[in-house]
Amino acid sequence: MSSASPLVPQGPAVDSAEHLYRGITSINWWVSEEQRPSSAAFRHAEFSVDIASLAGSPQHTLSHLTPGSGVVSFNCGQARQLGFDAHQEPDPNHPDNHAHANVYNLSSGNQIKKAAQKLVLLCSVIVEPNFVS
Amino acid sequence: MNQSATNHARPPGAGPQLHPDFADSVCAKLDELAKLQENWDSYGGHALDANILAAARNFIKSLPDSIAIRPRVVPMSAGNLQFEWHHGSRILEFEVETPHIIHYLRWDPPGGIEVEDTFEITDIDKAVELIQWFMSGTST
Repeated sequence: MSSASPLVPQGPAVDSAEHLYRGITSINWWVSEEQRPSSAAFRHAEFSVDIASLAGSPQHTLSHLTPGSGVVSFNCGQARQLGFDAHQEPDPNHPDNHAHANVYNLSSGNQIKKAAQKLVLLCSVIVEPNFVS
Repeated sequence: MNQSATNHARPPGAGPQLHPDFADSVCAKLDELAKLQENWDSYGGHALDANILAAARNFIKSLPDSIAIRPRVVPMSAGNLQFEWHHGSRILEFEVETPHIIHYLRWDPPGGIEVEDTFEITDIDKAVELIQWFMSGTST
């Protein structure tokens, strides 16, 4: 994600059958007692993911994240039904990451937090975060 | 590395602990989060806004001692933060969206509750009402 990026998708929509990897890059985004991410990991107008089929493995995603980060996965089509629209676009911070996509949150007003929480419930934990505290 | 594909199974254990000294511990966490640098989340996240942090401290210190369940304090990539209480399917989030506004989520789908709205950060009665709602469902 780049904060300077326009919030209008530039790349092609990701196929709804795809699964997307989202990094849990802060210990603060992991609710350990419930074994799930915080909605804060998805509370953005736009956020980065990797397309699982192009990444090949979660290690691909982990390779450009802070050590100790985790990875969760969710289905692109189910997320789109919640208002999270994924488009395959380059990552300016990691231009070699061919699997990168941006997810645009189309919710607004008093739907934003509900949408983020519903996305949490879609997630499967692929790699549990393991930050050294 | 603990690698597994799982859904969210709550591990067995007791309900949330009570923390009568929650204000001090939350403010200590706020002090810790104040040190976050730009890109702290590896995704271009911003350092926390000083005005948001100050408003969050004042808010926490304004809560009565009877609010004894300590929230998680979670930084947001936009430079703000939220307080979170979790107990199984029941969730309460207070996002300090601006120094004046809290955007909250009151969430318990099995109970048919999915409420999102805002209130003034100085409206302590509203905050207490919401936290007491959360606490009422955690006494198992």
